[in-house]
Amino acid sequence: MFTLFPLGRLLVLSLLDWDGISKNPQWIWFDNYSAVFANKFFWLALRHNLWWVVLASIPIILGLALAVVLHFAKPRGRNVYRTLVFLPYTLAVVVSGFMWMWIYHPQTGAINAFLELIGLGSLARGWLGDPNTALSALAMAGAWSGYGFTMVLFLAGLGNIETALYDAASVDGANAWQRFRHVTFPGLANTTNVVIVIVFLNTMRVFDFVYVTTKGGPIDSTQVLATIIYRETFQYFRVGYGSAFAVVTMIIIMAASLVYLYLRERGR
Amino acid sequence: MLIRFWQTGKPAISKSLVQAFLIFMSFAAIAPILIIWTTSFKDNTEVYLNPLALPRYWRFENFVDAWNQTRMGNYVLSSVKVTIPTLALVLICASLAGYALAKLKFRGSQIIFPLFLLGLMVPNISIAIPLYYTVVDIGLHNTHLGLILVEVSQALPLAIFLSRSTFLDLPSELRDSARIDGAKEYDIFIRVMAPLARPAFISITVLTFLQVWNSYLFPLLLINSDELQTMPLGLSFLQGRYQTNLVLLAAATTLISLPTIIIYILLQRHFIEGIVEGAIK
Repeated sequence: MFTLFPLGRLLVLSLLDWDGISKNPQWIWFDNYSAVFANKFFWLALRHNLWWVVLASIPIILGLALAVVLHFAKPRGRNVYRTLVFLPYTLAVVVSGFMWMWIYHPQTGAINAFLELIGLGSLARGWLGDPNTALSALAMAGAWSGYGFTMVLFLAGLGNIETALYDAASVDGANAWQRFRHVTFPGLANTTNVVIVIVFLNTMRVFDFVYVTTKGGPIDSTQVLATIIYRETFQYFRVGYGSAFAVVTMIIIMAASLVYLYLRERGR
Repeated sequence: MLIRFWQTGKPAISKSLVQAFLIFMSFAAIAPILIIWTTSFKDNTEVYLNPLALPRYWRFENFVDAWNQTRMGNYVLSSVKVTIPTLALVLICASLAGYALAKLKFRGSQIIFPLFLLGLMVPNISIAIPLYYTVVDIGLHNTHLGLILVEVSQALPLAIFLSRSTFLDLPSELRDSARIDGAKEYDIFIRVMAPLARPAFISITVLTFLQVWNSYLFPLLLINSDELQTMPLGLSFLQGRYQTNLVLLAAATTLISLPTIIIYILLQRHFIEGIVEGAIK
């Protein structure tokens, strides 16, 4: 309904040669698509997104660990921890992006100040200004706002596992690791799938975080698919080409998610 | 080994290990926020001299300066003007449509769900291109109305889905017995069904609020003039303009982040449940 009409229009746009203003765009059919695959920025951005996906496993693992601890250890102040850890997820990307630009700042940044403090001052650098570290630094900042999110999803999943299963496992003499391996882990299978797909989707289509911090720089070291699409369409006004780029990106994302879900479904 | 400790819950060492882990992770979550908050009380030389230390003098006047020297008030007002109508529209449309979809079996209802799932996977930036040109075509570029309509269209699919699945879970005997008592369809909806579906509406409100209040891409594309700009874009404009006045920026960022943080702390249970609901359903 709200998706299909714009998607249809996107597909039409992707077949045109149009600058966004002129009255008579030319139909050039699939030329835009071949141009996308021939563009080195497409492959560069795709590599950057995929590297970010690899690093996005960190917040997933942290979220799982936190959820398991909170669920089983039932420490005092459980709600306080949950509230604090989830807080970053609710902040606007401009706010968290600004915080991290600050933390990575070469002169006033907390990271460099901390490195000086423990005597590793030689490692200090402008983390977002150095093409070698900028992308990973952004991914770490993304991980910061993400681990509270994965934690609450895992907590919800843990709450759905029947406690009777643990009792049964204990009666059968399963030790803690076996209980985790054979009760908790399978019990979380659905949640894990949801978490992985959501994190994958959000990582592959990340735009705001990159745009407010580095805008794709330095020397294109943090360009991702979405920032390239933005640049082509709304800054270079190659609307048809940008649309084709957007379609290709969308298909990659959807296909990967669906294949993953299909494989998990079949594996069970 | 640790897990056994958690589950039997006896040895004190593992308990403190667990506490240490939790405290560390919670601290890591709020440390960046605290750094900005403390920075916003410093002066500009102190920021460079000792970035990590607490401010020597707590300069509250930084906040006054930030408020007076920038158009922050304007940005916040615009954000409110966009967020409230969006929330109202989304709640009205989602409750009515969700109710109708839950009650009616119509042709094609089987394919709606997979389509909806696909819709959730579409990247923002992809859908933004056709939406942008559509808003330009109907002459709503650079208006709050255009932005509101786009935000509503982005929030509605998930909102309708959540409300539909909640209405599906409500027993239809409720409706039947209300009807026997002579209630009209409209009364049934307002007095019987809608109050029972309240948790879903809270989730929808939370999800939509976060989406709209923090929205960056759509205002970036759809709003040009500074007077109409919403808070996230306004802040990002300030970041470009006051690059050297770090203290002013920190104070502005602090002021802007406070409302969300306060709302979140007050309603944290609803926030977390809303997010989980939106992701897992």
